[in-house]
Amino acid sequence: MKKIYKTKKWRKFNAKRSLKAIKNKRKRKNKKFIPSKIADNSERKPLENIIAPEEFSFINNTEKVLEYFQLARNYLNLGYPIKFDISQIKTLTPDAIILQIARIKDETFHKKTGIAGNAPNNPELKKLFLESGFYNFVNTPGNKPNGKDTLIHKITKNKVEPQLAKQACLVGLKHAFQNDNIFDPMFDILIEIMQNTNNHAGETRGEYDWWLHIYNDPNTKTAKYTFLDLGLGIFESIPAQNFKRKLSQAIGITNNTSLVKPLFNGEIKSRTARPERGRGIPQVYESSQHKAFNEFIMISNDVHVNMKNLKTIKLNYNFSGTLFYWELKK
Amino acid sequence: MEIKDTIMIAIEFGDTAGARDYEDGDFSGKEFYDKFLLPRFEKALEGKYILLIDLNNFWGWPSSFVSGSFGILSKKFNAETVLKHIKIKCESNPMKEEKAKYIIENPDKK
Repeated sequence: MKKIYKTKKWRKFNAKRSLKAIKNKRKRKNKKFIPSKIADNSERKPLENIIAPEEFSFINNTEKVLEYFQLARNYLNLGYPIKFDISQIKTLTPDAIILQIARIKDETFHKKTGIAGNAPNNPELKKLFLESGFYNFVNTPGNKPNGKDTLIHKITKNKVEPQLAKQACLVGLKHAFQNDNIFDPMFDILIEIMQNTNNHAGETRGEYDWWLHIYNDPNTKTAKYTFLDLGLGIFESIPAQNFKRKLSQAIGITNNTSLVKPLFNGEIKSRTARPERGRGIPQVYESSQHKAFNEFIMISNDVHVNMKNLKTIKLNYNFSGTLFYWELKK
Repeated sequence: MEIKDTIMIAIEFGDTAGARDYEDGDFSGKEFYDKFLLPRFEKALEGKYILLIDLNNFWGWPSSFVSGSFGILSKKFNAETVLKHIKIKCESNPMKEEKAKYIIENPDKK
C-alpha cells in the first residue's frame, strides 16, 4: 500500500467522500418521479407529408415552389413534423435543391421540429439530386451518396470570400469554356452578391449565411450557378424601403416591381447614404448582360426578374431572401 | 514623367479582388489602399514619377474594390493628381483601366 493512504489526512478525506456518496445515493433513490409538464401537455403530432410541385423549379415555377415551402412552414409553426415529399416530381432544377437545403438548415424555418424527406423516383432526377451534395447537409441512414467534385456547396457566414469566388469561377469555366482563363464579369458578380448579403440581408452586418451551388450540366455544357441567402430580401431592406416611401409619396401607391429599374440603375442609395456606396447591384446587372450568361434570374421578396430582358413578375407569395441564378455557356 | 515603380498586384497583394472594407472580408479595396496604394502613391508624388499598377493575373475588378481603393485615393488627392501619377495596365482586360479611371474621376457617383 502506498504511504499516502496511511496518512491521517487521507483517511479523513476518504471517509468524508464516502459519506457524501452514500448520502447522494440515498437521495437519488428516494427521489419522487415528477413527469415534465411540457411532455405531459404536448401530444406527439403526426408527420405531415408536403408534396412538392411536379415542376420542382424555383426559377421556372416560383409561385408553386413558394406555396410548397409556405405550407411546410405553416405546419412547422404549429409544431407538426413534416416530410418533404419530392418522389413524384417530373422536372427538377438545381436552384430548387439548394433552396430546400437552405430551408432545412434554417432554424427560423424548422424551429427545431423534425423534417424528413425523400428523393425523386425518376432515375434521372434522382441522379441529379444525389449528385447535388444534398446528403452532405442532412442526416440519413447508411452511407451518404457522394456529390460530384464539380459541384460546390458552400455555406458561409459574414464575409466576402474572394478565393472561394475564384474557385467557383474555375469550376464552371473549365466545364463551359474548357479553359481556366480569368473571367472578370462572373468573379465581380460573385463578390458583389456576397457583399450584398453581408451588408444588406439583415438588420446588422453578416447576419445571414449565403449558399452557393454550381451544377455542371453534362448534356448542355452549361454551368448553372445558384446563389442565395434567406435574409430580409432586397426589396425589404432599409434602403429599398426608404426609396419606396419616397416614390409612393411622389407618384402614389407603388409595389416592389417598380423598384427594379431604380435598383439596377443605382438610384437606390446604400444604408450608409454615402454617395460612393450602392454600386454592387448595378454592377451585377451590368455584368449579367455579358453574352456568356445564357440566363440570369433574380428572385427576392415578391419579385421575379429576368435580368437579361428585365421581364418582371410580381409574385403572390413572399420569398424571404434573395436568389440569383445564372447559366454560363460558351 | 516616367514610370519608376510598379505594383504587381497579383504577386504583391493577392490574385483576387475582394469587396470594399476590412469588415467585408479579405483582400478588400481598403486593405489594398492602406498597405500598397497610398504609401506607394505618396512616394510617387514626392518623387514626381508615375506608379504603374499591373493587373495581369488578377481576378476581378468589382466596383466596391475599385471604389474602396482608387475612389478613396481620388477623394484624398483629387482626380487630376491621381491620374497624373498613376497608370493601370491589364493586357487581358483593358476595360479594367477604363473602369478605374471612371471611378477616379467620379468617386462619389454611382
